[in-house]
Amino acid sequence: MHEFSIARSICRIAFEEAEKHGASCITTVCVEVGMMRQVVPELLRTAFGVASKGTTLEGAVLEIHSVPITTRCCSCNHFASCETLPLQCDNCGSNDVQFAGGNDLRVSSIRIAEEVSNEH
Amino acid sequence: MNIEVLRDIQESINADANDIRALLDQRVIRMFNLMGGDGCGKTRLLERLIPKLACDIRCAVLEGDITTTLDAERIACVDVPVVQLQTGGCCHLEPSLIRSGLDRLPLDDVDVVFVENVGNLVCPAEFDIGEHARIAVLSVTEGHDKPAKYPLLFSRADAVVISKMDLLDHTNFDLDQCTRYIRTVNRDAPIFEDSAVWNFDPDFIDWVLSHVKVKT
Repeated sequence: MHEFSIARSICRIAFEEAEKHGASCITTVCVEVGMMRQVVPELLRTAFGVASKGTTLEGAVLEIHSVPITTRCCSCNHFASCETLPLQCDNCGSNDVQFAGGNDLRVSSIRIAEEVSNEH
Repeated sequence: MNIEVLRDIQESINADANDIRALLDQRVIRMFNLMGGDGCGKTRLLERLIPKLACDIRCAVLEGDITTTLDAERIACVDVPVVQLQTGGCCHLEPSLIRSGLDRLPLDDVDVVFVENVGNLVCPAEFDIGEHARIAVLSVTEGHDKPAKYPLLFSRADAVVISKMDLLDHTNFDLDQCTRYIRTVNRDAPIFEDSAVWNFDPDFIDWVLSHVKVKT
């Protein structure tokens, strides 16, 4: 259940960014999760709900954007994008396929509620 | 209002891991992170490896488990300092727990710390704990498909040990296929064959020693 540790880190970053921008209410936190990472989106959402309970993040939506795995074939140099690591090149059939990307794990953005001005 | 953030979710854990590495570097200590599935032979490997290294280097061990001190009790029999880290249900080790373990080791008298991570092919791979090198252990009884099914752990290994090789003929483990799966995610890590009833491959001992700087 490493998702809980990841959820806590997401909350910490969201708090810091909200404070930096003087925001008191975060409505959405957007994260990018590479498909090579063994993160289960449903579990991460549940963990985020638990980690954010009783904080200014409670009720915020966690938007998870899955980043596909990319591979390069060492025989024909074909790049492929997929959800699970392919063990064979879908272009030439070679077994000599190399993992090239899909390890992402980052907070890409947050959305904060517009503050209502009392000056008027 | 949308605010662009673009921050690594694990930046705080990675910073803690870097602090641990810096602390160990300052003390000229090297730390290895042993990862692998439950029952793949990590503890047995340490029980055999540490006496082999004893004339060259001073070892210590941090044993990660969900509960019990059974593994630490086994390691204590090879007469090195050992601390059992109990995660209380957590499936992996993180830098904060490693730091608490290091604080309980006599670091002035240690050249190498072996960390035996919680037996699990998934979660330990996600976390930098401040180690200098990662050893993935896979036993033939687990099956040759594990590097394909759990690629992250093998992609991040600096060496892979295939253990329980004496049982190879009793299983359908395909060593060539296993090697191909490992090479899909990891071009460079040396792969060593091992068995608890064999002597270690001398290249494995050399690989371990190549990471170690003995204090002068």
